[in-house]
Amino acid sequence: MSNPTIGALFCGLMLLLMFIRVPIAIAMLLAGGIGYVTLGGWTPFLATLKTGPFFVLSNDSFTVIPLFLLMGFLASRAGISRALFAGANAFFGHLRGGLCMAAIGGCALFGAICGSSLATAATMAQVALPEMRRYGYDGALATGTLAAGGTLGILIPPSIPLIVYAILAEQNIAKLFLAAFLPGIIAAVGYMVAVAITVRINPKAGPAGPKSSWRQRGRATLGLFPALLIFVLVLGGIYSGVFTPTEAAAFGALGTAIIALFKPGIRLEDYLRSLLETAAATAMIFMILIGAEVFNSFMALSGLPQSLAADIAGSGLSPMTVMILILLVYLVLGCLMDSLSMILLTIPIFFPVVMALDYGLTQEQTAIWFGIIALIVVEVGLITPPVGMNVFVINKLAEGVPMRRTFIGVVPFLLSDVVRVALLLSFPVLCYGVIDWVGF
Amino acid sequence: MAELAPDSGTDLPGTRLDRLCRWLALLGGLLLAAAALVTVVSVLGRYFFNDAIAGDIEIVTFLTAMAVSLFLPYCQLRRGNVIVDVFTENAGPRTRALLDALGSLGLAVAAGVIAWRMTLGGWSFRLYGDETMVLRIPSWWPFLVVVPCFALLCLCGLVTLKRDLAERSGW
Repeated sequence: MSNPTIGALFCGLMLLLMFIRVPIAIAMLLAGGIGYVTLGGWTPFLATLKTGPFFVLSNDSFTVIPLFLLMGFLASRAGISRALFAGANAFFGHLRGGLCMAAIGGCALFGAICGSSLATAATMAQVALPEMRRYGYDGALATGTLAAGGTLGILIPPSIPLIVYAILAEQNIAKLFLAAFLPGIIAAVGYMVAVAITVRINPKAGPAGPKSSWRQRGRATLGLFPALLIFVLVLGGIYSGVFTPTEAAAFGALGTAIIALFKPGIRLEDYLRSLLETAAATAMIFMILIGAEVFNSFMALSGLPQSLAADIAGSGLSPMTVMILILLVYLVLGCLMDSLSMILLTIPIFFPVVMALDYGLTQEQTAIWFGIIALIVVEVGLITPPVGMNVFVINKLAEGVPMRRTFIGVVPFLLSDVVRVALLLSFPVLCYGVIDWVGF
Repeated sequence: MAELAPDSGTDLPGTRLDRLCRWLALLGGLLLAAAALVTVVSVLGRYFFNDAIAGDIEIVTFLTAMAVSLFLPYCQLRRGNVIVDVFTENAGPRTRALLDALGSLGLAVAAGVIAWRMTLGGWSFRLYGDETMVLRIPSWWPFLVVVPCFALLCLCGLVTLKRDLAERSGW
């Protein structure tokens, strides 16, 4: 049996293990480990384990992950999400479906200080769902909006999957963050349009609320100030060259902790809880990083990615066809797997394939373009059945709305996603244009 | 994605091991906060006093490595590791518990092997006197925290294995 065949075989084993409830990280570790031993023998494998996992834990580039997580969890506890929702609501509340638009605006703003999709969806749901219920919003629309809105959390920088992509693809994190901005804004606008169309078809789904006076709007806008402060500190710091991303995350986490002090009724327990939330989320991510490290070194040993890239390059398919096929694979995988695992497992395989094809872009532009589109398609997996993590979380928070209704509520947003991906595929400049424009 | 819903708080059964792991996770959180603080002080020093903390990155990465490993046992006890449950949704609770037991066993084995290999890895760092570039911190120091954490993770895997099996036979 050739090495690439063995590689494919153990890919299959890994998927099998995942599908019978073995934690994803452990499935990667076991399949990757046994595969490595099959190809290279015990001695080199055991040797890599001596320091390999430690280097994952002490990798300078990964330090940014727990810090951004801490920042996001602190921001939720600090009541920042409430202020953001109120701010957006002052401007959209009087429209039909206005609360949903406000929730999307709130998610987009919160996404700018939080790198995690579930955290964004959950924290916004806690403030927006009760309001939507009070105004008699349709359960499907309300929960669908929040599940979809949460995906803005990982598209709008900072974004943890994008950080991992940057490391795997050896690209500049700051540039990728910058590139994600415009697609992120397009996403938020597209979702608001989806809401507007939905309530036009079914006006009962989202009745209009009272109009805010300009005085109220002014006050609500002032409430955006803490979030804006963190945002400017973190991303402003990165782009002005004052901070590295890790330093920015450290400042962001500390700044958020200080801002939280001003929230009335904040207690020490809130801080400890956010530390524990950070602990659980970080541990889960690093287990997957360690598992992927083992599995990917096995993949490299098997030569499967290279042989796949060579096969595709020799197949005579047009570059765009290949891209669309890859995106379809992501859509299918996204129905089953979480986004970080997907990025970790597929980028080592697909990245060389894409880079070997000619899209009429420079190497760096191709890498950035592919990263952003892959991130979007991966995130779509968060709201598609059967495994839509966002949908599960929101549905759990919205008592009395059946799961089926939430998945129905997500459909308009999925359509909006399809339009956006088509747009970005046709106009790659939407991804890398901002970088050229800023001259970063 | 790899993300988590906000903490429900009262999720651990509350044995002595559960409490220990929660405390260790909090300790890890404090180390992480310390890492953030070191970074902030170093950057402020760099801009305002033209004097960064020498080797701040070394301190930060070691603190983070220790923090993350302190988080691992806690995450396992609260079943924080992501699983795919689409294909087993319709299986009976006993079958699911048995499969979860398999997952726990896999985790215990993996964590045990890693703890064993890292003991040797840390030992060889010590033997060869490997140290960081700037501060000359011996590279094996963080292993004093990381290795026991993986051993504890292995133990936690065995404990969750026992809990899965207990659920299966309905004790």
